[in-house]
Amino acid sequence: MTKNIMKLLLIEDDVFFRKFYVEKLKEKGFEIEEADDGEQGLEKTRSFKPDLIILDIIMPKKDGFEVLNTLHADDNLKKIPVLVFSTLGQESDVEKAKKLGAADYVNKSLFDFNDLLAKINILTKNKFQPTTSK
Amino acid sequence: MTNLDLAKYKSLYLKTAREHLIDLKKNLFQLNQNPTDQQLIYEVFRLFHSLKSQNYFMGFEKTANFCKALESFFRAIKEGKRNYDPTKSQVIQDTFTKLENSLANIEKDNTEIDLSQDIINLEEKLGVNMSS
Repeated sequence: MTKNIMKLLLIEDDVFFRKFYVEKLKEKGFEIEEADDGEQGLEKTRSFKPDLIILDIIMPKKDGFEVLNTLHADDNLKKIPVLVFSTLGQESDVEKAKKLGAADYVNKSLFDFNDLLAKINILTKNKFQPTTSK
Repeated sequence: MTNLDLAKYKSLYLKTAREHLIDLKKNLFQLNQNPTDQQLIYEVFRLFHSLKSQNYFMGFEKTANFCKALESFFRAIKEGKRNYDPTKSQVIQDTFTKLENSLANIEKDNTEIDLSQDIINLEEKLGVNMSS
């Protein structure tokens, strides 16, 4: 049962990952908006006002680091928790992202939905209760 | 590897992977004309990164490792640790054919080509260790 509709913004350039994760997160009852590069991600952060951002790092136009820098420079936007969407071989990128304000990360290539949901839940202070697990 | 049924995502994976290869060819062609163009270097790096990530996700680890080696090579160029040498372009172009062949095998019967020896050959031809 969904207690609150959590608003998530997925900023990810790869259409394959975007389609997959948007579909899976919608199945869980999240309201989700998507952006395919960092520039569009920042625009949608301002208009959609998500409860949490899932952020890819390696993207065109503005990469994830530039997005984090912009978020951090804005008193309102810097309050939004950011979960970095990383993959194998990006350990140094994750560390850098954390220094720029990212709260945590998930490995998008090792799909572990329970881990993703748990991290979303922790970062949004348990406002969300997932629907029945699939 | 995930325990989800990924069969329904296979056609999307193949479609986007092939689009990435088309973009890689275009960007490599342009990079050969402008070997120090940072935007082109970043694009080639980004596309190999995307291919790597997709292949790990779908469980095609050998193809992913091959892409990871190429991603590492272009990451080093992006970070200024080495320069892109257009005379090595054919070596990179040959990797596109290997990836296309692996995708064709995956499409046909869900098996990928073992590219581990090709990673070693790449290291020799490009004169670098790309496995780190």
